[in-house]
Amino acid sequence: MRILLVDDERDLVSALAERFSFRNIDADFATSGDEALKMAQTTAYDLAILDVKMPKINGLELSKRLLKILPELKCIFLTGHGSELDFQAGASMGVAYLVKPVNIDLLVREIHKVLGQGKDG
Amino acid sequence: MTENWDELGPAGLTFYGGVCASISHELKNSLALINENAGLMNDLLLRAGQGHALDHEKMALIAERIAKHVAKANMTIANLNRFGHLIDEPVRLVNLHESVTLALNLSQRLASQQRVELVLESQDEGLVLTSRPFELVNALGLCIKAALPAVKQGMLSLRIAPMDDGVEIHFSGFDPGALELPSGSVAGALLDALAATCEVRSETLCLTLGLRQASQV
Repeated sequence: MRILLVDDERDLVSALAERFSFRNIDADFATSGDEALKMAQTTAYDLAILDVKMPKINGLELSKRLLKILPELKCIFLTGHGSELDFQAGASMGVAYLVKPVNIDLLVREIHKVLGQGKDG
Repeated sequence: MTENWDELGPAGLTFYGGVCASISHELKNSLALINENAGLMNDLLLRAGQGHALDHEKMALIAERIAKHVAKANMTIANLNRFGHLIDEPVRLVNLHESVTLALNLSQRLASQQRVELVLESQDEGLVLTSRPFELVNALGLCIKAALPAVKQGMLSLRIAPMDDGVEIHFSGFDPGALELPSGSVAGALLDALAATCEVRSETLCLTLGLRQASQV
């Protein structure tokens, strides 16, 4: 399993990537949509965890562009304030929304769920 | 200038709601950063308990990150407090430097999303005038919002320019051809409430507050 984390806050994604590594999850991170799109050209990620609100390219738009490069990619969105509409829109698109600050164990469970794997998957 | 509380109607509420939403996002981001870095520290300590070497420099770096984001969140809350107090009185003596600084701070998130740095060039911190504090910060925010998409080299500069018969706030660093002046009913109501004008003169967006009460303290 290889994950791409995208958030414009480097201090957040770098910490999260390291925490994933302690849980046997390989994660790279990008701090902009453009950087994420470049990385997706060279690495076949299984899952992207995307901040919804980012400069230039927001998380939803970025997911659409990433899917053009990696059609099998799954996405989880992180949002500051998820509204009911966000969650409904996410559910209709088959993607998960989690509200920041997120519990790492909950996030890991969601990753396995989205990828259709057991906990040890 | 009237002493009426509500010169803007729903437009004022929209601005208030927008600022509160933006600030709550900033605070959520700070909490998320603190949460992940505190979690990372905890992970490293757990691993140390399992026999892995504890990297003291790394722990110090993470603690520094947490302190940085606590300070940032504290500043965000201070801005929210200042913003909340803008409606204590409809009209009062206003320190212009403080008002411009608050408008800059409240616009920081929007600016950073557009990769623009906001800079206040004026060092004159003593200029006060009688104005409507809420509408003034709202108008400054509207000018910043209008100027941001037209910024040329990643920096929007603001300068407080005392005039003989009032004060001008100058915004520079943008392409005048790409600028859409604040317009519509909200901008009109704001400028009316402040007895102000807004225009572009030689590559500078000028918010002119025609307030003869301006004085130095």
